Amino acid sequence: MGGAINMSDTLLDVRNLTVKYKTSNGMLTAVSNASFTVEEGQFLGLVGESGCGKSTLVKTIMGALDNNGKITDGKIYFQGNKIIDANNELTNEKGKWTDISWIPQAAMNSLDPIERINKQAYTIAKAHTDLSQTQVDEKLKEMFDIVGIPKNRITDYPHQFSGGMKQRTLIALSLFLEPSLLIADEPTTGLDVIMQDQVINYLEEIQDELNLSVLIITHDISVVFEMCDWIAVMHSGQLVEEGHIERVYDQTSHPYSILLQESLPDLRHPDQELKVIEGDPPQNIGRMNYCSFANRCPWEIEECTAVSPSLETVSSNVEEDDEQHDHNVACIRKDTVRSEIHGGER
Amino acid sequence: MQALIDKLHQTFDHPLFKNIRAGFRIILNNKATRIYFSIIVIILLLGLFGPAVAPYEANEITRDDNGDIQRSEAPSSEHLLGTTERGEDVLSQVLIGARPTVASGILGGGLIITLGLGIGLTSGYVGGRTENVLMRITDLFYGIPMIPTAIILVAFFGIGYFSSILIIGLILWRSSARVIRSQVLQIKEQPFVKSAETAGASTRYVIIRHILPNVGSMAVLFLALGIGSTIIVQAGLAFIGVTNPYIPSWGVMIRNAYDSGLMAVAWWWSIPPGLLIAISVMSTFMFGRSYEQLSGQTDNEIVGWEGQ
Amino acid sequence: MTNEILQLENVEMRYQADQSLFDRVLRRDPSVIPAVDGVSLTIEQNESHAVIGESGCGKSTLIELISGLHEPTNGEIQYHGKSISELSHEEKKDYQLNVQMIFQDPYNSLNPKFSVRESLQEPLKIHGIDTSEKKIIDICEKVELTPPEEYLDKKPFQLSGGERQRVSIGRALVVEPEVILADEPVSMLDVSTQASVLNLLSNLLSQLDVSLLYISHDLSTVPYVSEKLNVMYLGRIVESGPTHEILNNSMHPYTQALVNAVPIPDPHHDRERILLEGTAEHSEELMSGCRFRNRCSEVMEVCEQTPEKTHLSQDHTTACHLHNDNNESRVGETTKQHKGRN
Repeated sequence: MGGAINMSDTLLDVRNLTVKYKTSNGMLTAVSNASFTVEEGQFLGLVGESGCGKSTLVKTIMGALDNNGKITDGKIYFQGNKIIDANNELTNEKGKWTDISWIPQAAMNSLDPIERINKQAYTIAKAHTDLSQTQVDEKLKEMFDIVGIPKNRITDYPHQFSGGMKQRTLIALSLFLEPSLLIADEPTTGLDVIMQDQVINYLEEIQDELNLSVLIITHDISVVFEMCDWIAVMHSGQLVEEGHIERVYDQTSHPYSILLQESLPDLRHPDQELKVIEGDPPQNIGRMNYCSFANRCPWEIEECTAVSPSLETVSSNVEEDDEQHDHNVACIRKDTVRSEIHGGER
Repeated sequence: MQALIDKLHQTFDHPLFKNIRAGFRIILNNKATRIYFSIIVIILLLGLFGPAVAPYEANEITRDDNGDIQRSEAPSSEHLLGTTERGEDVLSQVLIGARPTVASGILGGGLIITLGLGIGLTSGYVGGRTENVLMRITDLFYGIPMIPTAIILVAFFGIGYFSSILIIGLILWRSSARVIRSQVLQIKEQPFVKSAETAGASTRYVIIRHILPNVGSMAVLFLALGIGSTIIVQAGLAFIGVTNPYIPSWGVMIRNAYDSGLMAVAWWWSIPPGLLIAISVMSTFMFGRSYEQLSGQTDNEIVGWEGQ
Repeated sequence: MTNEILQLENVEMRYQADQSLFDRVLRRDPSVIPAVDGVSLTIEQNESHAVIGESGCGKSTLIELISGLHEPTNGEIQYHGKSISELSHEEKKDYQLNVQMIFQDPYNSLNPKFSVRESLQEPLKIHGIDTSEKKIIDICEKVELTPPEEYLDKKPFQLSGGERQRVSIGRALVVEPEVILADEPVSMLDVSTQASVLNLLSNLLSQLDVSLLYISHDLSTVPYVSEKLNVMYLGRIVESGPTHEILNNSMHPYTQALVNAVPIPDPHHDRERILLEGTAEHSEELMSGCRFRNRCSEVMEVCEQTPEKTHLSQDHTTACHLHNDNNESRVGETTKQHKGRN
């Protein structure tokens, strides 16, 4: 993490977080030494394949880790206050729940089918605030307006909405209590392109209208490039690359991020060959003193399996403003990889 | 010789045997099912060999050295579980009574699962009018109260051991039919079934290869439930006297103990059959339940730790 | 012509909507949902077609009709020139052998009790074809489940999503069919797995003598597997033609919206936004006229009438009044307007 960050603007600060699961084969590392921050007003996209630990990360932040999971190292700060540390203790519980809003994966089906949306909103509000039903309705109408659903539909039942609208209703429900951070786990997965586009569009609208930070968890890097301004790439428990979206795109330096991009169809270049990431991510049992991508990596050298690379700032000869300068990569061959891929151009 | 071995190999490679072997693997891999399964095996062995090892006949009246009938004697080295009011050896009755009890469970449970599976599969897979008719019949059976019907039927056809099992089986299939049907409805919509159907598989093939194996664990659960409920309902019928009193099942024993008025005093008489009924019913129930759970787990086991 | 394998002519599938008791008492006519409405499509030997549209557009019904799970209420599906409803028992078997399917969800398209070997053997067994181990190993290698010995005895729960989908593809190919119907085969896979399955499909198509009907909602995957594209909206094909031509020069406003909805993996790219509100839903008003008119940004009065199919070039057609010959004068104008927006 760059030292230039002004701490007062940092909303969520995850430091050296390691989370392990107890399994029959031994301790399995799901998140290894992960550090990142979410600044105020930032849209951060956390990308990785299924099983890379991104959902575990979110569950840890929300204090909803499964029973066999344990934080073995690291701390999580929210608005400068420590909320979780290695003792799994939620130290600042009360403040947290109204300030962070979480939309779990496939949450569309979690809406109560037999209750009107505004009643469900009231139930949520009652648990955290003392707003009245009328006040809740007012706030909900505002949110419906932002996510592009007619205001009068707040009294509808969930089944009256289509898939994309349900996802937007959920976003509205998670926003009407005015949290400062929204965590959305795979908000577009399972939607067709049209509905996905609707959700992306309204999430962007939210960014314009509310000063909200959003952490989006997804396996689809194109969604991140489409709507986020910061990106963090995760592979099998390790954070491999993170930084400002344009910097990361222009100077992609981690082999995994490169392959993730090249495995994605791009409508502008329909004939471009799709790269395949060979093999599967390793099951990290025991100490993680290696790069988890090594066995799938075309650039692998012997050292890759001997040390666990840490995030380091990418040196750049391009002068840009401070904010865009932030770009960290965890790869011992990052400079070779970058110059091979991007060369002198771009 | 070689031909015979090949034939055997072929037979054991049959999917049915594969499924049975897979089933045993599941049972033996888990502590809970292993325990329930061994209890069931012990009770089965009791049913099989109990009568052979019983020291006395079921209705043999035992006498002491003076020639007096040993009435309601507490357990001693001679009568490990004491004697009944009529002077019969309780241990022998328990051992002999195991067979009709176990047999009633197996017969009743078998009848229940045969009917339930047949009707559930047919109505679920065939659908349409057949389903409607079969399901309305099932509904009709839901309206039949067990005990009163048994009493009435006994009035018509007389008291009997087998007829009581028949009545139980003919009524209790209803819930298994309903649940299996709903399971089948789910499975037949799965793409792997559609794939076989579009490839031109016959109904018989789809049912045997796709539907049955996937309702198998559910069927085991209902077989277990059926065995348990038959034993318990049969004991109930025996208790109110609606079954053959000369076949000395555990239920009949409890009834005799109750009839003698010595239930509270001669605890050695009433408690062993009662306890055995409870243990056998519970272990079959628990076995069925944990087996069903386990086999569901192995099918859907998540590859990673964070499956999507 | 002899190389036409499947020919759909004006195929229609109308479902009757469920009626309430009230409607039945009043003897109201049940409302009819035209899930597939006058679709014509010809699949020739070694040719791949894609049908694209959002959920509810009828593309899945179309595949069910072809696979014979339902019978069309109107129109004809011909297999080598003979309607599939008139096939003899023998011919029907032959049809079922030659038209195979790949399903969307890798998690339930394989019987959880079957090993990979059993799944791959299944279509052979059903058709009484020899199930020799060599054939099974061959097909494993074809779908890149290598080394085969490692996979043959595994059960679906031991496989990843991509591997399951390979087994599904293998099961479809093992009988050497003429056509494969693929119902969104990659939409539920991770991006990196999706790439490998798409590559596999595209390799197989170039190596084997097989045609493909590929169904998806995501246009970006189409160029890899199909040279022909059909865009479907509420039961009708609204635009069809060579994939590249449609991607570069889409004519129907709905196709344009679909093309624009695909995210571009480049933060520098500002894509032109045509936001489609709501979803594709059948309604009474849309029974006649252009079905897209309630969501279309270019809607005109003439859209109350059902648009005719117009040829834009020899094999590029669209059904939209914007491009109807009678409105020719307007075409240039609106396309220009369109480009200028946003």
